[in-house]
Formats: sequence, C-alpha cells, structure tokens
Amino acid sequence: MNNESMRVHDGLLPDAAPISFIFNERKYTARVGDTLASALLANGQKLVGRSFKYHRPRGIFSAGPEEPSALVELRTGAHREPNTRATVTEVFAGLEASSQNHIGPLGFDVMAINDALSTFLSAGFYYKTFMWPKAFWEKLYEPIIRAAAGLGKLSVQEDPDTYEKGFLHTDLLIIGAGPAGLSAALAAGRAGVKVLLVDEDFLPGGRLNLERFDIDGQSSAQWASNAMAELTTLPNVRVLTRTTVYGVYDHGIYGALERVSDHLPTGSHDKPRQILWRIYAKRSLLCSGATERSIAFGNNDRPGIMLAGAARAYLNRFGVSPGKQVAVFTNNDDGWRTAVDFQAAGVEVTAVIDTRSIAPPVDINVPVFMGNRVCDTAGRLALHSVTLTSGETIYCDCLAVSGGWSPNVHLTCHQRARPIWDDTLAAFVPGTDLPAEMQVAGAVNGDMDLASALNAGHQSALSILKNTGNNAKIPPAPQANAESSRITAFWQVPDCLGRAWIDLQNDVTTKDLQLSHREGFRSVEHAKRYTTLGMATDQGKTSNVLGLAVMADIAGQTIPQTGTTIFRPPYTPIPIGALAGRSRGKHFRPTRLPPSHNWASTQGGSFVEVGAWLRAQWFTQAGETHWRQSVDREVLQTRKSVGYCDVTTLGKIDVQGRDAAQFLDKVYANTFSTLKVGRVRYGLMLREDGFVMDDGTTARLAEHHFLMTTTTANAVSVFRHMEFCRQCLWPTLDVHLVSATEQWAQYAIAGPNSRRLLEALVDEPFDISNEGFPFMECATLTVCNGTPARLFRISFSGELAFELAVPARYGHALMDALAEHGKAFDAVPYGLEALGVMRIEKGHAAGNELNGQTTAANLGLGRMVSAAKDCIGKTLSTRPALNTNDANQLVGFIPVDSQQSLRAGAHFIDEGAPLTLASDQGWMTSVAYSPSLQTSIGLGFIHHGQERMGDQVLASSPLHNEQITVTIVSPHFVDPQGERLRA
Amino acid sequence: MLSQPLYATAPLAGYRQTINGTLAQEIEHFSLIAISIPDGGHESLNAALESHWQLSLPETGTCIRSSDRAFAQNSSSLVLFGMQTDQCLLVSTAASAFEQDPFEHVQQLLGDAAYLTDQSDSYAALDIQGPTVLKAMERICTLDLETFTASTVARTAMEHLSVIVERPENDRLRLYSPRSSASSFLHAVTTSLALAY
Repeated sequence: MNNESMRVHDGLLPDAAPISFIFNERKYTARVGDTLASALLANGQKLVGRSFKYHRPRGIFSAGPEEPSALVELRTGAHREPNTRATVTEVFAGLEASSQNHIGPLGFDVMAINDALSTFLSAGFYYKTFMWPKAFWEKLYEPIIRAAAGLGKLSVQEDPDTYEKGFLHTDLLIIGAGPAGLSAALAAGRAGVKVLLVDEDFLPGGRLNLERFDIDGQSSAQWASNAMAELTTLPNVRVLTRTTVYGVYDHGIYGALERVSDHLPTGSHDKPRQILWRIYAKRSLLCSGATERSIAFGNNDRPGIMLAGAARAYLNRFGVSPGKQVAVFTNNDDGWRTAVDFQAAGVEVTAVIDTRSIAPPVDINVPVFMGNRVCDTAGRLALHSVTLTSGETIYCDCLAVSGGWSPNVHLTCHQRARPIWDDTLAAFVPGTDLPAEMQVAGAVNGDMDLASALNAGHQSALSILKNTGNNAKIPPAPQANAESSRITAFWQVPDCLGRAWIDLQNDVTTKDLQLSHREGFRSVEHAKRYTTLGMATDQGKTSNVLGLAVMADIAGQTIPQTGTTIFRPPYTPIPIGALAGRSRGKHFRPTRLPPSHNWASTQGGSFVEVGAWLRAQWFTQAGETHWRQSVDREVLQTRKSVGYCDVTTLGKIDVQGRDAAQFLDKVYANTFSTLKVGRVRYGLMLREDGFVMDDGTTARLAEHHFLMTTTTANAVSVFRHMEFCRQCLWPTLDVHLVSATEQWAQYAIAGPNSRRLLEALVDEPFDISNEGFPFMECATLTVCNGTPARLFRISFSGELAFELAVPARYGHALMDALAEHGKAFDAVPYGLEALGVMRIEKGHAAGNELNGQTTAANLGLGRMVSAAKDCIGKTLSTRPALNTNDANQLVGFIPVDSQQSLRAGAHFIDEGAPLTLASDQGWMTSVAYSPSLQTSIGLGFIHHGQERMGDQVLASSPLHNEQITVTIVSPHFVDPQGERLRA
Repeated sequence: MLSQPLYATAPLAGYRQTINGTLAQEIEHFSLIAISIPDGGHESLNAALESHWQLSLPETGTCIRSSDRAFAQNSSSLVLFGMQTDQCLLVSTAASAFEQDPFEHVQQLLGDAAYLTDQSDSYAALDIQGPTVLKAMERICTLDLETFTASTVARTAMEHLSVIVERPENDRLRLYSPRSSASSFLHAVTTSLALAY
C-alpha cells in the first residue's frame, strides 16, 4: 500500500477519515473528500493512462470536469464504466479503478508503437490509406481499426444500476456555487425567492475552495462553507450538489444530471445511481466560472504537465503536491499565484517562465524567466525536465501551465447564440443573445477577480429581485480583494522540434491543424471533424480556444474571424442509462389489463400483448400440449354450444348532444341519423384521403346519446380524430365526447346456446328472445339481481351472439357467473386466437384488412359510402385510381391441397407467371386453420376478386420459397347467409 | 334461474401500504361522473348545481367542494373538477353511503341540464399522504405540485398514463388513473415513494 507521500498538508481535509482504494490492482490510501485524481497524485501516481491514437503516456491535466487526459475505468464486472474522468470521481472505500487503452502493462504499452509511426498517422489517415482493395474496408480494415480505436471497454453486460428521472420547478435557477453563485443565492434566498442552486462538485464553493483568498475576514473556503450552511437552513432554497446542468432547452427548461450514489460503494445503499432532472425555471443565473487552457509547445503532453490552476487546486484543497520540483509556464498574472502558493507550502519551485517581456508581477524568490518560453520537455513516463527557447534546461517533475482562462459560455450557446471575443481577457464571453430569462455573472461573464465575481452575483440577484417586484432588504455583497489577472495572449511556441498538443484527448497537434488547413478543411466546423479537435468526453473544454487561435494563426486571421463551433448539449457526458431512467423492465411502459385478467390467469390463460393490453390468447385445458388444440376446441365448442370472450379492449366513446347524430353522419361514411333508439349499426370511418380509417358498431341509447365502438388498436386515434372534428371542423355543433373504454367490462357470448346462457343472467322481465331482442338491437337492463348492464345483439363470430357490458368493477364476477351458469352448456371461455379464427371463418375484416391502404370498395363495402350525405373522405374516395375495374376486392382463399397451410403476406400470381411486381395481383391478409372446415383458410385482396370465384392462383411467398395453389372463394366460409346470427 | 348478485372488485384490490412514512391507499368507493355542458347551457346548469349542491361550474384547472347530505356524508367528499371548457367531473368519495346509485341520483337531479357519463369504473383512485408526497411525485409528475391548493386540479401524464391530480390537503394528493393500467401506475407511485429521500 502506498503512503500518500505527496500529501504535503491537510488542505481542506484535516479531519477526513483514511480509506483505501485500488488502481490497476494495487492498493492505495486516500482520504474521504479526495477525488481519484487527487488520491493518485497524493500517492505519487502520475501515469494514469494512454492517449487515444499514439498511446502516449498520460497523466492528470486538470482538476475538474474539463479533464481530457486522466480517463479511467471504474468498478468491475457489469458495473464497469469506461472513460470516467478521474478528476471528478470521488474516492470511496473499496473503489476499484484501472487505466485504459493499453495492451500490456500501463508502463509498457505495446500499442505505443503508434507513436513511432506518428508520421503516418496524421488526421484522416485511414481514409487516405485504406482505400484499396475496396472490398478490404469492411472485412479487414474497419474491424482492425475499430478494435484498436476507442479508449475504455464496455462491460457488454446489462447495466445493473438504477436510474431515475425527475421534474423540478423554481423561480430562480443558479447554475454554479462558486463565488458569484453563492453570493447570488444568499441575496435571493434571504429575500425569500424560491431558489434552486446547482453545483457539479460534491463540495460547493468552486474556486473558493481552491485558492487562499479571504472574504469578509475569513478564508474563502470557510466563507463558502458558512454560506452553504445558511442556504440549507432557508426553506425557499434547495441545493443540489454533484449535479451538472448539461443543457438549456426551450421555455426555461434545463437538463441536469445528479450523481446520487456514484460516490458510494456498490451494495451499500438503496438509492438510484443517478437522477436526470428536468428543471423548469422562470429565471436562471449562470455562474459557471471559467476553464484554464494550455499553451502549445513541444511534447506538452507528458504526465506531470498540468494546468496551473489545477496544480493550485490539488495543493490548496487536497494538500497534495503534483510534484517535488514545480515549474510554472504562464502568459498571465494568475499563473504566478501557483508559484506563490507552492512556495508557501514548502514545495520547491524551480522556475517561473513568463512569455511576457514585462517586470515580474510578483516578487518571489525563485528563478524567473520573463519573455521566455518552454519549447520542449523530457521524461519517458513522467516529466523530468523542460527546455526553454533560450536554451536553459529546468529540472522539474511538474510543469504548471497557464495560457489564460476561457469563460464557460457553453450553456449560453445552447440555443444558437454566439459568444463574442474579448481582447482584454483573450477569451470568448457570452454574447447578447442569451436564452430567455438567463443572466450571467462571475468569471463566465469576464468578472475574473474574486471581488468582481462576488459583487456580480450579488448585483444580478438584486436586479432579479427588482424585476420581480421583491423589495426585501438584504445585507450588502461580501467583500474581497481584487487579484490581478492581466494577460497577454500567447498561444503556441513557434519552431518547436516535438509535436505540440492542442487536444490531449484526441491526440490533435498543431501539425494536424496545419494539415487540415492545407487540405482545405478551413472552416472551424470542417477542421473539427477532420482532426477530431474538441470531440469526445471533454468536448474540447481545454482545447477549443487554443485550437481556434492556432487555426487563426495558420489562416492569418483574427480569432473572431475564425469563429467558433456550436456548443450543443450535453455539457458533460450523460450515461445512456440516465436518459432511459427507470423506463426498463416493468417500467418500460404501462400494461393495461382487462377486467377478467385475474380470472383468466386462473383458467389456464396464455396472454399476448395487443398494444398496451395484455389479452388472453387461449385457455389451455388438461391434456392439451399445443396451442392449436386449445384454439380448435374453443372454436368448435363455441360454434357447437356457447363460448364467451372478453372484448373490453374495444374502444368505446360516449357521444352525446343535440347534434350527435349529425356529427356521426359526418365522421362515418354511412348514415346514423336514421338509426332508431335501441338499435345498433355497423359503421365505416374514412380518412380524408378516402381510405378506411376504422370500423365498429354504434348503438343509439337515446335520442341524443350514442355509444360508438372502435377497434382496439385505433381507440385513441379515433377519439383524437373525433375531438379534432368536434373542436376544429364543426365547433358549432352541440356534441360531446367522453371515452368509456375503461368504464365497461364487455363480454361476447356466442354460439347457439348463448341466449340460453344469458337467460340465466338477465333479470326479469327483460325479454331476450329473437322477437323481443332481435339482431342489431341494444338495451339498458340489469343482470344478476340488479347489476346495471348494457346488452347488444351483435356478432363478430357469425354465431348467434350478444355482447354484455357491466361496470368494470363487476367484470371479474361476471366471468365467474358465465363460467358457473355455462356449465350446463359446456360453455368455454375463448381467447383472442379463437376470436380471430371465427372472424376469418365469417369473413369479417379486422386490422389486417383495415391497414390504411384499403378502401370501402376494396372491402366490398363501397355501397356504405352514402350518396345521400357528405362525410369525411367521401370526395377523395371517388378518385378514379381508387375505383378502377381491376381494383382489389376482399375474397376468401382455400388451398387446393387441404393439407397445406396458407401464409399471410403471400402474393397472388397466375401459375407460370414470373415473380415480379408486374405479375402481382394482390396479397393474403389473414390466415387461420379452420377447425370447422378442417382446412387452412385465408382472406385477401385480389384484382376484381368477386368476379373470379372458383379461379385458381398461386399464393407465393418468395421469402419462404413457397408457392401454394389456392382457390378463390367467398370470404364467408361459415354461414354465408347469416342465418345463425339472426336465429 | 335467479343468479347470485355480482360482487365488485377494486382495481388495486384495496391496496394500503406505508412507504418511507407516507401512506398510499386505494380509495375503493367513489363515484365519478363526467358532466358535459350543452351548448348554451351554462346558466341553466349553473342554476341546477347551485340549487342541488350549492355548487357552480368551476374554471378549468380548479375544483369546487361542497356538501349534499343526501349524497355524501361530509363536506369534503363532493367535488366538482373543471377539466375543460365544456366538461367537468363530479366526484364523490362517499358514494357507498348513498342508498341510490349516484349516477341515477345525479341524472334525476340534473335532467336535461347536462349530458352525463358515468366514469366511476373508469379510474382507480389512489390517496398518498405523508411527508414524502411531493418529493416522490417529483420523479413522475411534470407539474409543480407545490403550487397546488385544495382548489386546484389538473389532468396530466405520468409514466405515459393520463392522471387527474388533486391536493385536498397540504401533505395529501389524490390521483385518479385509468383502471386498466392501475397496477402499472401503482408500481410507478410506490417506486417513487420508496426512492424519495
């Protein structure tokens, strides 16, 4: 176990408990409050990974979410997560981490040969190199390249973690709990504003925890701690730590990811891993700070070279020195504070190299090189020295580099706003076209010193209070000194011998940008995609501005002329699991259960998903080993005696109003205003284009009251269509729609004994004889001693049949009653499959026939489109192309060889005709084995089929290499005259 | 043959469970009647509502509570939800105390003043009451329930399901979701309660 030899003082972790963790199978010690990066540095572990393309040794470059280099795999097995930034990973006891993207040990990566071949591996090399022979690309080149590319490896197992989503509402969303954010939150919170303060760190405070500043006479870290303590006591303020706002969307909606338990050992808690929040904010204040950037010089990617602010952060917050000999390379005053802090901590500072030819901004007792530059570095697996352009060699194992600070403007740009260049800061700042109701404050707005940031946050809060009419008196802004942040832009050291990295994550160097320019990819968007600059997990947070500056140099332009790429969500990586939330397994989508579901479960029911519904497909009885046995039995017994089936899932729409009949005349192709009270009529609904939309029966319960049924599949779309018609097309009609699908449990009772079975249930004196209750009649009555019910004399099976509806609460009991009273008739429950068989035997169209591409004429229902009135779809249904002489017509088919099974989807051709579209005469829509006829039967559409009864054609399925000779017959295989259903 | 009376089955089988200090329980007995307002019939319907229950048509998104001793046992059990410009819902959670069928009762009283559709069996009603109610609902409800009062009602979507929400008390919500998917909805709610922290 290593011993934290580089922890030079306690930082902000004086009382933190010691813990141990594993990196590359080796045990290390850390403190609660460390990040994985700070813990590795505390143990002197500088080499943490290999670079993307050249497999160069890589260390820790930053101390925050911008990290391009220290990407590791966390955890093991199914919990393994690749490409995780060590700089934002909280260490916990037992954490297992490992380096990635190397073959062999981390210190001796076989793939490092790529570095020696770097001359041949420039940007776009595979597109230029692997061109011949063409066939090799897919089979050889691409698999090899894909195997070699990428960083970490996925577990390729189901994600065992849980994720949540959530929705938050606030009056003021403050993004970032640094100086400006905390200052604003205190002001707004004290004034009673409903505030949501979000910070991505687990320790709010931002740079207040990283610097040795004073605020109002106390250390900045202590001030931040006190501010948080006060905010958490305010009932109107909610603080989310470990939460990153990753996107800004329309209408004040923000996306945020809360890492709820990433910092906890697996199995030690029952919390979700992460929550994806959708935040509805009336106003927002962006206090996202700024990110430091590097300078391009030779071999500037070695472990030990890091951003100057990051080096300071490790020292001041975690008490960890990234090196024993620290040198600073800067173009601004801020970099000097790194040297000052390290010297104050007793760490040897071997040099400060400043690109500016000015007097040293700080009086410090270390070697100072003004107007000088680092042009090269040395050290195989970690830095040991740097070479200056003046020729000196400086020995150091940590080089802290500061090329200036770039405000984190990303969220201001998510709605296409462009940032604007500020020469004084040498950085982009937010433009004027911010997302609605967003303000910015602090370093993100160019307020780089602490005093300005604190004041900016406070003033922003005051302006929001004023705009919302809040006159609360609040204390003045916190006070601090304004440190110097002077900068003279300096981007790259010219004429370096080694490659100078711009984007560490994607191994993009200045030479790649030069190549891109030479080859014509000069727009920033083109160069980004050609070189991969700014892609992947860090999205170029440390490299974008540096890359733009180098591109501007190459093109002889200014940076504003060069422009920027578009910032898009997400700001930091979002796991796919978090986007899915709990929408998996039972939570993937709701399941709808008909009222008889539990009853069916106890009766051997096998279920099938029909949309969201779970319906009984058939009921297996003892001795039945194949589903066909069950289905055949159900069909035969129903046709022989009686069967009952749950048809609750059909859509039911209550249509009421003085103009209800007129309304139905308009939405249905046939007429309903002539339907008498107590009668039912089949209806056909067309779309505006004249094709059939849906069908069903509609009962007239009273003069101004109809109950319409729809197919199960179209229940929602028909209701939506009718609401559109009611509200938009004919708003003056007095008609009202209420969905009644859920209200009624409805059962079909079919078969020659169905009336006798019903007689046992229907209360007296209601008469259900054929004379008293003929075909297509409906009634409101009571059953089983007073239960309210509705009875419809309709038939889908072709048998004498009824549909009985009771309030859904009685659905289970009614099935019990049907089973009990049905014993006398050997009644059977039948499922969806038998229902389908019987409707095919009867020739009734269903979803397969009403597929949105068929007309009333195709279905043989052309005469239902009333000539006496207008309706939706009538005009376009008369188009000549839909009414040709050879139009498809619905007919029945039986195989010439009754042992053969028909196949839905087969196309009809004449015998001997080629299998081409030109020979195609139609297709088979539905097939079933008919136990009544003891043969396979089918329904389908074929050219002028009604005139071709008895003809033989081939039902061809090229996919199955199958051709069956079939005879065209009437679609009404059973009881074509309809005698049974009128019995 | 005289058949046995049919027994009623509750969509959530009378679910009742305390999770993280919050009680979730099914309301088994309630009536819910959709009242559609005839074109031009606002005034006469308002008069009928006033006369029978001292109620008036609510604005969309609001609810009005009243009492009717013949209909319900206490003043909080009769509520009129304003759901859309020409439709409201009359809800009573004391329907079991009423001797006559609630739908028939309302139909007799309102007559032609409204078009009525019984929706009592269309929904499962779930009451959740306790300290974690709002925290739990943050996970599945897009609405800002903190702003809800006893006079607020909304129809919204939770986990792909249509849900009517009311907040009769500060720490209590009543959720009406479609009966057929009630078990899926219950699963969503109880999962949220279990994860509320």
